[in-house]
Amino acid sequence: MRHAIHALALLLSTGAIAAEPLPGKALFDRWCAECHAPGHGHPGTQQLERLRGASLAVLETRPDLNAALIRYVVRSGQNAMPPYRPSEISDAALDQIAQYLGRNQPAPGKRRR
Amino acid sequence: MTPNILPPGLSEKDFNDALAEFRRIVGDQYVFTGDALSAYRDPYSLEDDAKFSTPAAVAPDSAEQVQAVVKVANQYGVPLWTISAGKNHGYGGAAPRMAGTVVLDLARMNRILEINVDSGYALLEPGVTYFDLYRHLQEKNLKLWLDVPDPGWGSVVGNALERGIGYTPYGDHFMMQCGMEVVLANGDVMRTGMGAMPKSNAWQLFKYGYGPYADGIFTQSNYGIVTKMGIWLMPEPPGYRPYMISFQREEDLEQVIEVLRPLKVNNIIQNAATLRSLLLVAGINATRSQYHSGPGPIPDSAAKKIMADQDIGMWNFYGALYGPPPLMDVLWSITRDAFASVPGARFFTPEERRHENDVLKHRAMTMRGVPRLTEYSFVNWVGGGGHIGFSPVSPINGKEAMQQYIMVRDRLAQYGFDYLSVFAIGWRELHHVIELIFDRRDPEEKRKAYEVFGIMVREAAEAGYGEYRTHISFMDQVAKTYSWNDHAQLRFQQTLKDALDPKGILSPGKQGIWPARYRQGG
Repeated sequence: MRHAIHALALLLSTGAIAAEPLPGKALFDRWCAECHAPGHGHPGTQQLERLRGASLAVLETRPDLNAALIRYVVRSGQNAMPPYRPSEISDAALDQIAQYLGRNQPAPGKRRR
Repeated sequence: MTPNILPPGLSEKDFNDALAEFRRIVGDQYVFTGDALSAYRDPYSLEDDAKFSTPAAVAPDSAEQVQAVVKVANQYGVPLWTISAGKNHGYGGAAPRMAGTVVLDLARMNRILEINVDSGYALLEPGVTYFDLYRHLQEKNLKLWLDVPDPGWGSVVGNALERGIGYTPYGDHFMMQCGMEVVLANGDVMRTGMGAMPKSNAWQLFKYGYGPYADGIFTQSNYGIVTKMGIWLMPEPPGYRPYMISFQREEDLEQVIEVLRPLKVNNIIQNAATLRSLLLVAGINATRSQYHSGPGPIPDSAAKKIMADQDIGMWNFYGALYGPPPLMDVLWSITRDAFASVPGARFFTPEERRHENDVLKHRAMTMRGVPRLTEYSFVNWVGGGGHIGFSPVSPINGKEAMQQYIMVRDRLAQYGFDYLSVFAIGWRELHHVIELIFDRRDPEEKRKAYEVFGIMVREAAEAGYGEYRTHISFMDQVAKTYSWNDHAQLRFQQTLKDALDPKGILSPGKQGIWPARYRQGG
């Protein structure tokens, strides 16, 4: 209990409740960020900018990624990107990454508009 | 479930029984079949995926589980293809040489078992990647450096076993390896070097132990499964200065290599430095279509424009100095004076490079052992991301480097491919690593790449240049080029194979070494 209160106080003090990262964020940082982080030196970001333009180059800010697409590309690879095996990124970890990258999608109600 | 392919000679029932045994050993969730195998293919293969397809993958978590899996494989005659991180890209990735081979995937065995800062070594399991080890050293604030290849996602153990290279003074990875634990084909497990003595505390300190030195036969081989390995790590030096020297003319290659040889042989150049071709450097930040839209290789006019845009040369030497500042001062003055004899040579520190994503700024990290993936950008040179490494070895000799360059450049040009290469400077030799970049979505490009690759292997061998490593598609062809005295070495390798692995279950066809059961069957 004391730990919970402490953690809550910490979150309140940093104003971080709303910004608490999804568990997929850490997995993304571990497995994907070397190629897909924003800025120079990241081959995935660089190539996506060439192919799709600057607004769709950085995976973490894209509004159009859905979980099924992410699962497919990670397991099958695409263009220069090699596939990742379930021994490296488990299905559960991949679901979390997909959830994290899919979080910017508009809610279904909004999309129907 | 019916697998789409079976190991050669195995009935479906026997195979399914073996899979059930594998599941009992490693757990249901770590035996992969069907759709879960999509990542066990070579994404950059030049041939049909079916030639290298696997019916299942098994991912054990410990040496004991590896032993148990090997015993079952022996009992049923199931061939196993061992991978660690599975990132042997350009050489086959995670895919087995022979269709029907089960992949033994060691990625879950990713424990860092020991780091010794005073003596400068690590004891690792094969699933530990360069990123894993680097993050561990950073988190613990340990003053040791790694030596990394260009992409950091690979296995430290796997790369040393493939005799890969990096760019610090510890760039020859197998030379820095010390002590192994190996599961043999009969399920026995042994430790090499000092590890063979039960109470020795020098397993990671003295490579050779007593009697015949065994570690070498477990590299680029199919004689055993390495489950632990020692690797020496470089103590963080008191000073570090990376640099780049650019050379403007194609023909400078000969003189540059002649200047290099005495500097390297006398250890004035301390690290595993590299001389990189124009387009390999350019490909980190640019693509071919920005400079040339037609067929055929990049014309000279476009090459000149790339040189001007990126402020690079036809050849670009990346090296570094390590040690106390007075030592670096002396080594630099000798190095600079030697290369200044090449007309038009230009010298740079990272601070002097004007582009934010300049390759020297990136190499300043790799030459101090920081793993990255930045360099992987060059595989996008033509789009589609396909690449395969062709890597003949030669003396550090200007005329021979020039001869190799012209031979490869012209053959690639004939087939419409550009020349992207790195000359990696070893202790006494050059690894001339050519990256053949193709669009993997284009079957005709793949066909041409396959054809020209085979021609280059043959022509290089006729001129006396052998590959140090190759893709699974070409393992047999390259093995046959090492043919002195009626293939005496390959016969010796087969003799060892038959003695150590009589049932032929370990990585059949690896480096052209086939067990008797598949040799006789053709």
